[in-house]
Amino acid sequence: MRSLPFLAALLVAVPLLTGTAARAEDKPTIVAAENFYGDLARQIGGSNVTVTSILSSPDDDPHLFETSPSTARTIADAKIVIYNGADYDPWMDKLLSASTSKDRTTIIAADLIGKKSGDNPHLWYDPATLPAIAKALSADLAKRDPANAVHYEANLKAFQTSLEAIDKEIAEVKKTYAGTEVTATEPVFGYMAEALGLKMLNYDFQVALMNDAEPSATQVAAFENSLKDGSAKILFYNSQVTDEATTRLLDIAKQNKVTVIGVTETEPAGKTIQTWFGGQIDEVQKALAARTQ
Amino acid sequence: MSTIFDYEFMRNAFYACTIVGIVSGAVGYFLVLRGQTFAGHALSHVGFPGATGAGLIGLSPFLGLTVFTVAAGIGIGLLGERAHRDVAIGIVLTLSLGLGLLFLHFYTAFASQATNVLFGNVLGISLRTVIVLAVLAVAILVALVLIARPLLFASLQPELAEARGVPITLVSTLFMVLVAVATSEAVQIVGVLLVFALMVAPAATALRLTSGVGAGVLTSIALAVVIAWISLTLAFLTDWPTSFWITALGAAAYVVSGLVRRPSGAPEA
Repeated sequence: MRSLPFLAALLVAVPLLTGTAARAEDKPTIVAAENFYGDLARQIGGSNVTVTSILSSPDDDPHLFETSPSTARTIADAKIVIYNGADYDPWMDKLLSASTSKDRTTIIAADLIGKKSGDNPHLWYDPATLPAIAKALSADLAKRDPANAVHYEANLKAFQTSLEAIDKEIAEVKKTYAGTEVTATEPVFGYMAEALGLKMLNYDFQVALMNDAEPSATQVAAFENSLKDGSAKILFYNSQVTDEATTRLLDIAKQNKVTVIGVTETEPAGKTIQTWFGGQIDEVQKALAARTQ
Repeated sequence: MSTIFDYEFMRNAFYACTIVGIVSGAVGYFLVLRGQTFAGHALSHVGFPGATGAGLIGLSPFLGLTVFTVAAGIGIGLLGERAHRDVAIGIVLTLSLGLGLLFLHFYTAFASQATNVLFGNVLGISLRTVIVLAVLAVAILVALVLIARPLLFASLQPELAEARGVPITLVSTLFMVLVAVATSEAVQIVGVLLVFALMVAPAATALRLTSGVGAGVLTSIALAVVIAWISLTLAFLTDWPTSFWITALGAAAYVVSGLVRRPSGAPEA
């Protein structure tokens, strides 16, 4: 077969293409399944770690295509792996099982805050999640790299302080506007809406959409009514994923003077966890303040 | 220095693809010979309602997927040698997908646990899974050898076989069950496109290149395994999806084989 020498040539070429990367320094390598966990890892590890995030947009959903060999390789070489769990990123379990390692730490958000399969998987919007991961990561880094343990602890403190400021904002919104009815096309913002004390309408519609099932006629009708009769004060939508049905609901909301707020599933480029969450909470606060005037 | 085989996930991918290649090459030969490619395609997709339905009543999605696919295999097998087989398969396939949607409609929680079994990943295979796959492959190959003779007779000369008392419906149903088990398990592990691609193109190519059945099956297996190996290597080098390379090389092999003169007396593909 003519292809055999070609195959042999490829096998010889492999080490040349892959051998030089990584391992130049002994920095702990951290892989985060989603970019907000990667941002967290950078804030805790600082310049002492190398961080790679796999997903930076929900369009990167590995369900829709095959995980690439380079992604599998990055995970195989990682010392610490952070991912969401609760079946949001099940490909991580598979990739990890295919690359066994004795000294790798896996930090799973769902396990830290007691969530399981079937729960709303957008756990990072739950104010308890990021501090729990930060704590676990800082402790693991301190164990691996005792020389820099003070840095990791200081970074953890700074991270916690910055999140406390956001928690204070959340508490303020909750104090003033608890019980306000809102709705959403997708359950992305669900945990944060709950933390803000907002009452989420049309949850079954959101579940259907997430499951890739068509929302039923009654669900769609109930959704439209909540926008038309003024019960929903804010409509949250996932600004990274919009389709015809969402656009239609947004139009109905705008016609009926329901405030529309776009939230994102992953951290937008150029933002940090603090500016991203802070900005969205500001927007909610402003919208609610404007409505009550 | 790291090479392709330094990575455990690549070694496991090679093992798994070798096993899937052997089974797909052998099963695929009979599938293509019998003109049942569409049935194979349908069976690799009907697991969806099984997985979502099982999740709904609290059973393992893996179990649901397998049971549903085998049931569909039996259904297609019983409809068997009658006319309008494609129509029957089309109806079984669309009804399954419709049922899957209905089951999802009844979910009040997030269903990703159930639907995730439909997405195998060739780069995410543990050594334990490789062993499961190997055991399953041996079982399927043994069963195939046991029914090979009547199956061939029934495939090539159905009237004569029936006249000689070969239980045609039983044989074709057993074969469909084999295809069902092979696809439903392999889909969960290596992914739907990869399985189906390895089942059709190598077998169709082998049918063009060989005359005897024995040589045909062996060529089909060899092609499937070699295509899988080259594809994994190319995927590692280019970072393009493995399934793309398998479909591309499979199509190329089929086209090239068309240019080679067919030996006389080969069974029709």
